[in-house]
Amino acid sequence: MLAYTVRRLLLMVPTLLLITVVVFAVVKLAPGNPFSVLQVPGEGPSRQMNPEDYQAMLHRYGLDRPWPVQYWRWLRTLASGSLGESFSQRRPVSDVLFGGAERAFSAGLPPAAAASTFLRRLAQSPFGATVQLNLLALLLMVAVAFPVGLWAAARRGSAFDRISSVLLYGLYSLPNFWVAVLLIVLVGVHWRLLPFIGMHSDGSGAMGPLAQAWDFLRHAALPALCLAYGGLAFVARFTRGTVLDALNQDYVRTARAKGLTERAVLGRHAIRNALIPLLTLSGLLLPSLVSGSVIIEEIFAWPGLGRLFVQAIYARDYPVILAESVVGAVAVLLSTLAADLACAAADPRVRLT
Amino acid sequence: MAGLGFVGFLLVAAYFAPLIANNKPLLIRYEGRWSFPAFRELPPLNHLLPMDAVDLRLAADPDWLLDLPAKPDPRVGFFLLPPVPYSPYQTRLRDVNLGPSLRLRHPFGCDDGGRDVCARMLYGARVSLLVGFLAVGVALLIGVAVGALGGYAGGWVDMVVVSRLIEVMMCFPTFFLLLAVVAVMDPRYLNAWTVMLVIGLTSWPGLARYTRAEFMRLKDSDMAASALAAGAGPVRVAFRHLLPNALTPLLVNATFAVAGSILLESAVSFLGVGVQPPEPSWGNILSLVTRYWSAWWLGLFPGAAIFLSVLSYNLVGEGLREALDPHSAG
Repeated sequence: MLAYTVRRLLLMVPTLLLITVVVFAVVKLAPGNPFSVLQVPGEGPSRQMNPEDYQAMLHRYGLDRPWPVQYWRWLRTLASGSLGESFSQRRPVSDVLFGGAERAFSAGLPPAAAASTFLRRLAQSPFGATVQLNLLALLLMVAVAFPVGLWAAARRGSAFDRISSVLLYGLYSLPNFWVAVLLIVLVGVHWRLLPFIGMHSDGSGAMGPLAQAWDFLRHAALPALCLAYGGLAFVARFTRGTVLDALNQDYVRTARAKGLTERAVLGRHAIRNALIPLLTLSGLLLPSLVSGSVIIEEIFAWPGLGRLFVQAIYARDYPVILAESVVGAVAVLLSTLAADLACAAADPRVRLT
Repeated sequence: MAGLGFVGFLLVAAYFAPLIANNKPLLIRYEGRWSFPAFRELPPLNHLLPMDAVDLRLAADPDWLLDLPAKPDPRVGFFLLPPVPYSPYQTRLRDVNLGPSLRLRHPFGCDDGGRDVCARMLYGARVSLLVGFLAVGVALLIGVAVGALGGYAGGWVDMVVVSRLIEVMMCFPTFFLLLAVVAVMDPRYLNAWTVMLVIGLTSWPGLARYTRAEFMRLKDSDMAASALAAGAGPVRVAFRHLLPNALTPLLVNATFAVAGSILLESAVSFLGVGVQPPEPSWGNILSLVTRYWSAWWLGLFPGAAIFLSVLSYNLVGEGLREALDPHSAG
């Protein structure tokens, strides 16, 4: 298991390098640079950056160097553990993304205090906000889709099976930003049931911990719902498939033959084997969840990585855009690895080659 | 079948948009002569029909016929306006943020510039249809080339180059990558065409993976061996013999990719970094509702159009899969 983990981690190194190449190439191949926006020919002279300043800015950020030099410089900053400095916020990108959480350990605090500071800062950072929202969405997704898939498999071909499949398929085609807009108009604006801006109410810091958690859940309800429903069809169909697979296995026939109730067959034997692929699936769902959370966070003003990314785009904050693309890809890579490892740990039949 | 029907409906609506929603009349008698100004905006006819006095009058004063009851004009005889008598671009102060009203012939209401939402959606359908075909076309070109190379060449080419590349590209959430490209692009180049191109350039890895898998499966078939034995070169075998056999699953995946790219286009336009107003797209009409939350019609109708077309393509894909693969029923 350890050898397998180490090998997988080593295999990640060339992949990581390629990720940086792709991100860099994407940014370099697209026409324009952070300052060319300020040189729009159609605009009046007051809106123009003068050519000397333009050259000076290019030079200041090293953008006048040949691209291999630029790539090498960027790679060196990445390798040193820094993600560069944000153009628009004028502080390190890692502070912008992670709230400076990693500095908790270098501040000379005792380990326990440092760890709690680290966690608190991380939870309050955009990264933490996105993780909390996505975990909630994932939880919601599995909590709804797993029973539906299970029930559909147990009653295969029944009205429930067919209707749930059609409904979930329809949900899958619903654009989440449309649902977000409709929910805000209906639940937020018209009925005034739930808040739809941000993560906390103003002055939530003064509330007790329970009230704070409730406040958070109320704020997270709509965005988490919007993120979760699209994957329902996927998870439910997947569960249905694996449970059906399991139900055709010999051990299920044995269980039935020895007189177990259908409930026990499903609960004891079929579910356990359907849970393992679900672990892998959660890893695979991450890219689409992260993609979805960009637009959902922007709509609900959720202070996470997605919203930060959109704002970095509006501000042409290159270092943040680059860093987030790399962080996003690395997160996907790591979660795939984590899912594989969890799968290997849970299922002794998985070959560790 | 319902899916195919809706796609067909979209095609017709998008093509005939100038005849359905336009502030130019379908036919008009002006200074004693008949002319057909709306038809001059239909693609093949715009080069055939000559400009005349009505066109000049309309160019000078686009909403002239709408204002006719207030300001009568003796030169105008009989005229017939399209069902939605507004152009998608023309702003009208009177109609700013006006709700749906059949009496004023604004079935889906107006946006913050007083432009008719129905007219804008009809023209926006053109973007959505084109993005589906062009983006997926580009993605197919790249995906098939890369996938065929990996699947057919195998060995180190596949292990070191192709598989790694596909793996890395799959790591990126497509939407992140797409936004990153659009973000660093010069806004001067930002229009419907470049958005389509960028969607194609970022969404090929899924198709490449399928092509690669198909080619791996077909490479060792007797068919490939006999073609090689007959003296065909590897490129010929790959594209003349293997590709046609790999097309079936690719077609199904391409249909789903069409749905995906429509969704992507409307999402980037919704965020304001895709198709730029005043150019209409369903995504950028929908995004207006985030500025005027009480203008529900700006949210309901364009979103419904996106949903229905995505659903239609998904249904068509599902139908194709069932039709092409009898084993998939389950």
